Parts: sequence; C-alpha cells; structure tokens
Amino acid sequence: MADTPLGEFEQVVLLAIFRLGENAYGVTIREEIAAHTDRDPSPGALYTTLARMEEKGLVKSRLGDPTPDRGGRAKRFVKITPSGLDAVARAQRSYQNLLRGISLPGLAHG
Amino acid sequence: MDKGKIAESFMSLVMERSRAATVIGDLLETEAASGEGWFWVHVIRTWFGTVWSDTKSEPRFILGMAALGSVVSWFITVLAEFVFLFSERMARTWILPHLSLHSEPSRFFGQLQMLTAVFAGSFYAGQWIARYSLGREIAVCCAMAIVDPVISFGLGVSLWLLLNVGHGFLGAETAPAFTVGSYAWFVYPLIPFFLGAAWARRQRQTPRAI
Repeated sequence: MADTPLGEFEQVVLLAIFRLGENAYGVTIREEIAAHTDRDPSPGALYTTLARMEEKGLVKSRLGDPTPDRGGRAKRFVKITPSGLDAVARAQRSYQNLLRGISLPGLAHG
Repeated sequence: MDKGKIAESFMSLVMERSRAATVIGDLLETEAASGEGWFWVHVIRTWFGTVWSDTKSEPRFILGMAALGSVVSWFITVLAEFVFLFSERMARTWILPHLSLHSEPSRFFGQLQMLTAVFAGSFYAGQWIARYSLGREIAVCCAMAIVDPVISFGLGVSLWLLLNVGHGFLGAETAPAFTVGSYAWFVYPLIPFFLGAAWARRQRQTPRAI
C-alpha cells in the first residue's frame, strides 16, 4: 500500500495528524487543518478520508475513554503509520522537486 | 431517546457501530459551539458522504448488487403474486361456493394483494442482498433507486408483451400508460428493500464495543 499515490486532501490530513501527535482525533484534526490552511473541511469528508486511509494502512486508530461531554462516547485517536509517513514524505518530495528552480509569489524556497 | 442515540443508530446503518459512536461523539462535541442545526446537517452529510464513498470505491460491485437485487426482488414478487392468485382462484372456485359467499373478484383486494406481494418480495430480496453486500447494504439500496426503475420498466414491458402477444402485440388497446403513478410503482419496492437490508444489517451487527 506504500506505493499508493496520495490525494491532496489525504496529505493535508496526514500532516495534521503528524503535527497533533497523540491528541489527533476528528475534532482536533479539523481544527488543525482550519488553523493552518485556508480550508474548513466538512466532518463527512474527513471521516470518509480517515476510514479510507485506515483501510490503506496509512493510519491506525485506537479508542479512548468515554467522556460525558460527548454523551458517554469515546474519541477515536488516530496515529500515522510508518507507511503513511513514508507516503506523505514522498509526496512532499515530489512537490519540492517541482518547485526547485522556480519562485512562486509569497512562497520562500530553501 | 436522545438525539445522540437517534443519530448514532442512523449512522450505524452505513458504518460499523463503534465508528458511528465516535463520529457522533465528535459531532456532539462540536455542536456546543456550532448549534443543533449544524449537528443534524453534518449527520446527514456524513451519512451520504459515506454511502457515496462506498459506491465510488467499488462502483461495479455496488451497481451489480443493485441490479441483482432488483431481479431477485422481481422474481420473488412475481412468484408471490402467482401464489396469491392461485390461492384466490382456488378459494373462489372450490371453497366460497360451498359456503354460499359472494365470490366476485374485488379490485381493492387485488391491489392489496399486489402491494403485499411486492412488499414481501422486496423485503426478502433486501435481506438476501444484505448477506452479500460486505457491509455496504445501504450503498446498494441507494444504487437501486437508479437501477430498479430501469430494470422494472424493462421487465414490466417484457412481461406485458408476453401476456398480450396474442391480443394484438403493441397495437393492443390495453397498452400500459406510464404515468407518475406507474413510476410510484417502481419506487415503492425500494422501501421494503431498504427495510429488509437494514433489518439484516441490524441482526448482523455485534453489540457496541464501547
């Protein structure tokens, strides 16, 4: 599954999960994406993407403890797997290779 | 029943129960800041998003199962209708005259009999299809909303031609009129089909893991 090319939204979700570390679940992932990009993903789009990525083995999930503010329902914490990390790193390298030698307005290049 | 349980029950039709519970938990957590309207809009959007995602991931399988469901539903319905008609004919010929009862065919009972046969056939077909849908029963039901009218129309016209072939074929005066009412006949079986699939899914689902 590591060779499966990632969609753009999948990359965004994987990077948000990676940034959040141990506290990545539906609500915080949406907030992280909204805080660092100019998009506000719908819950439906996020959950279907998470389920698909879990099927592909890019992320894995575990259930937390039930909490009263969620009507006694648990949080599903998500963690990026080594193959997920590899896939997002490969996708980002491709972007960087394409950007090398050109300059885009408002974007600093290393 | 509180809204969380209603929403969770609805959501568990399209995803496993523990996943539905966590999704509804997330939506309830966000609802405090966004409002109840937001909650229900996103319950419905997530539900349809999941169905669409299931369909998109394996479109041939979903459409194939929908077509198979439609044919199975038709087959069982026609079979049930023949059983009803045979029983009615037997009763009118052999039983009712002996009891000195009125034996004229009733239009109301004829239609009721038809509705019952369609309901039973579609409900059973929904249950049957659910067994082979690999957890994607509702995606198959939604695909049937498109596939079933087409197949029903084809089978209906074929059956009508078969029955009327000796009475003038297409030129017969009793040619069927396809109106909005007849389209309702195509849509009606989807309800028991959906109920049958949902029933089978509920039976199969294990108790909540959390």
